[in-house]
Amino acid sequence: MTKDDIINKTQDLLNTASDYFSKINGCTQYLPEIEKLRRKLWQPCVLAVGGKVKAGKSSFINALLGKQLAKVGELETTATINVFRHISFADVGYTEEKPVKVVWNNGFETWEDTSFMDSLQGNDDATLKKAEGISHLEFFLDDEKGLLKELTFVDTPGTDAVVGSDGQAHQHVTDRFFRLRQKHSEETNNKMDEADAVIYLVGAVAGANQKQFLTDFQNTTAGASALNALGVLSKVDIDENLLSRRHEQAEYVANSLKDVLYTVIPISAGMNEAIANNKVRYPALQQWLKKMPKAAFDIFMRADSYYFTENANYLNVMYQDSDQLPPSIEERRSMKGDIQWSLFRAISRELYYSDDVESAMVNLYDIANIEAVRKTINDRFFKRSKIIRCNRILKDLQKIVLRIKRSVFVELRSNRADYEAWRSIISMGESDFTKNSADSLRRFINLQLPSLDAIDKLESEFLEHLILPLEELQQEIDGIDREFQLLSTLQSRRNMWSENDYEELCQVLGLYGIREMHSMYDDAVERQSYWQSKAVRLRDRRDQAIAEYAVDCYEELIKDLKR
Amino acid sequence: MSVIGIDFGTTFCSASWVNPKTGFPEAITFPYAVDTCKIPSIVFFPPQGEAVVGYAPYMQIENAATSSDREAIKRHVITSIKRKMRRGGSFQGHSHVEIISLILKHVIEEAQKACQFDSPIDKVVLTHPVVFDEWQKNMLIDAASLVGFSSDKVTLLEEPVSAALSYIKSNQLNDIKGVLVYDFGGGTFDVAYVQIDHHGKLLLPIDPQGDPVCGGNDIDILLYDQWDKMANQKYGRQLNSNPQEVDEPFLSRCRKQKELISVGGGQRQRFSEILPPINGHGFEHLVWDIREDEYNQIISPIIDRTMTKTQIVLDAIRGKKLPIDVVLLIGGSSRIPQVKQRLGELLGNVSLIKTPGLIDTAVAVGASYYAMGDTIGIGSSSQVCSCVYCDREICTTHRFCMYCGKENPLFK
Repeated sequence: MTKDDIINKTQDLLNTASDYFSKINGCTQYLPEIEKLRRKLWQPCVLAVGGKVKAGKSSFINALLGKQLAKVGELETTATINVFRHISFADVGYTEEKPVKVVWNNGFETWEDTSFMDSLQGNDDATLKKAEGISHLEFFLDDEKGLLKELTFVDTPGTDAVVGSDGQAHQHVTDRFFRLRQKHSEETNNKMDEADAVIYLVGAVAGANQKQFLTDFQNTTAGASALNALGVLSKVDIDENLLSRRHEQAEYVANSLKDVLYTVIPISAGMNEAIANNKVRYPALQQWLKKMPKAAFDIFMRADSYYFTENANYLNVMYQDSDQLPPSIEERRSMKGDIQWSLFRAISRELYYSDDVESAMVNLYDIANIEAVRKTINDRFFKRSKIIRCNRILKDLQKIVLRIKRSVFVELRSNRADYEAWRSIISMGESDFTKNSADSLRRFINLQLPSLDAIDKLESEFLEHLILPLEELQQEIDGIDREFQLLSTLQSRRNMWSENDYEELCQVLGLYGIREMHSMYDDAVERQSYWQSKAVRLRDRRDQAIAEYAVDCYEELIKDLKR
Repeated sequence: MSVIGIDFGTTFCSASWVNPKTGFPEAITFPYAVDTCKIPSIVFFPPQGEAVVGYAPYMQIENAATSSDREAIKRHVITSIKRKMRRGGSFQGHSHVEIISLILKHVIEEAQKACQFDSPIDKVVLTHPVVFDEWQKNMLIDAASLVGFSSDKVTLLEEPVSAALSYIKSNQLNDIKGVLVYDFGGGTFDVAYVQIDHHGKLLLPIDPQGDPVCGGNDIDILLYDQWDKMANQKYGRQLNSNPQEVDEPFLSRCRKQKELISVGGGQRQRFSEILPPINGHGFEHLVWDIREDEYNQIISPIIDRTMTKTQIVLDAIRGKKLPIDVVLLIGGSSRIPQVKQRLGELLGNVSLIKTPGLIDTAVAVGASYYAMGDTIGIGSSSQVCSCVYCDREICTTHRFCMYCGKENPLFK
């Protein structure tokens, strides 16, 4: 069953439930709850972004979500958590004059105007104090066709933007939001305001080595978990060395932090923007560049001071073996336009060394790499989040269904049994004179109370069409949820496990993406009995549950082997 | 035709039958070294030969001479199948249904040895938690059919309903309308409310609450932790070289201590233990004089959890204005004195709390009562009778005659 199937089937079950509920006496009171669950199913997922202030967050966000955000971004404050969501009918209170919802720490909500936002600008003590009383700000955008319809976006103050006299304000606010999914294991059905995916952004600095990136990520990702966190190394265009080795560098960081970050993706938001704004000019640019002799091109690309050189001697030497004339400084200026030098260099290199614009574009998009981030968020985090959410919804639905089974059907039967007793009374009072009214009383009661056979039939339909499919679907997705929860537990208690046990469990529980169980086939029987005997010795029930799960996984593996 | 009632438990099973001599349901006592009503729900699959169930592997593990012997057995033993069961699940090639059927079969065989059934057992009543899904119930039915009971010969019954039925019927209490069942076992905790409606049917109108990982075993661990702390203070050592794991023989000492404290009614006790040898440390001697308040404080985290769940059920009962006539304590861990005391505080009335004589077997015995009739009161619920004063036809469910207004002596 694919992930989309699961979501659709959940939707189907909710529909079936409301069909039945409106049919059965005494069930209609549960219809609003079903409606609530249905809304929950289609609520957007939550994406949060954290990182250092100068990591290029806003340009990354704009690249990821489109330009809409930038406009509201002017209202944005640095001391609060800002939530961006698609406006829906449910947002009563929204007006153009007061477009921002302020959610205070005590849960109180007010709608405010731009002057209130202005009062939150700045990093002085008074502002921070005010901001401290605020849980978060919500900005509403009409983004019917955009990404926001699918996701709610949470922007957090930068992790190093600590300001104010107590110095703690910022960190405190950020920490609060980044506690994220730790509550997941407690299985509280709390509101879905915790992030389904988190992006930790680190901006590349010219000349930095991989060790430095690693330190930067380590400092940024405290408390993160590979279950929902993704690293993004931005501004990879900043130096040429990094640009050519960006995938390698990202992989190094990802491997070193593999239980904190699911993966690390190198991106260039600037490149993304440059492509969007200037790609029409690329054929002309390529033609112009290709006229340069290779030696001259290489020298131009060394640095902007070389590219903009006005020294005629230099230019002559560069072009001495060529029948071309060096391009004039004006020409060079206009060809570069107003984009950043590092971006221009990367674009020029690709265009110069590629046969045609198309193949250059492939490489340029690979540098921008925004699509990879989008895809990972969606495939890895959101789909799973949706499934886990389906599981919660199904559990709630099951509770309602069982309550109906235990109370509504029992009541129907009990009432009917009462009626059987009344019937003899009705016939007792019956004479020729009262026959008509006795008949009509019987008809009336029969209409109100279904017969025992009808109740039996209704109940068996209820079981067949609702309860059994519900349980089947739940079983289907319970595994995914269970794995997710066990992984959260494992990570929160990682210091309890030996290095080897931890490694093995991460692999068994599928933390590193697609389960690489093939390598474990050889000694599956041995590993199973290891975990089997380990499970009973473990002191903590949570550890036990993990070990027992490992036993089950190996059992499946052994079954596969026998096939 | 004979019926057996089986309480299929996570750690232990118990069973009941209708004694043909008395005509009343009784718990079955199995003739082992010590007379007991319980059979461990564990199955051992030796590398060669047939599966072994119950006390044989249980005693092997308890009495294993060395930890490596114990390890060797445990690698092939499945425990707590009730908690672990999954649809299509298996353990070392044996399906979960098969494992359950092996346990049921063993219980029935042992019951036949212990009791003089006057005819072959051809019906079984199995109890299960209220929260069991349909597929779990179906697995129980499938397991029973592997033992030879076709599905029309298997009846399933919710555990709290069974316990309430057993209490009410064995004490012949026909005017009870509501029972709170507090079931605190070795591994799990469940609390449920059973209502008896005016037809004498037993219903579960409130969502039951439970904690699948909260039981006596967790209290043993708390005591173990305390010993661990003391060993560290006095000798600078731990009980086990790997702090993530327990020393099983010592844990089993802790269980004994807990039982002694419960029996002793919570009085001050002195425990004198020899610590297991670990690298660099020999058999040190450690004494613990445990006071009641200290003990209560140590175990309160677990008791608290049961009280929180109970409070939720109580609130729901009060919200619906349903009556509570009795609070039944069942399951071995409900013997802990603190349980009764804390529950009394919660209810504001200790006198409601009853511990049925057979704390471990109330559920099993209820299963046999259920086989004899599933309602409280006598016979069918809506019999027609005549008013003894005016001779007109009325129902047995009416306390007063609706014609002459006089009391109906045939009211049930």
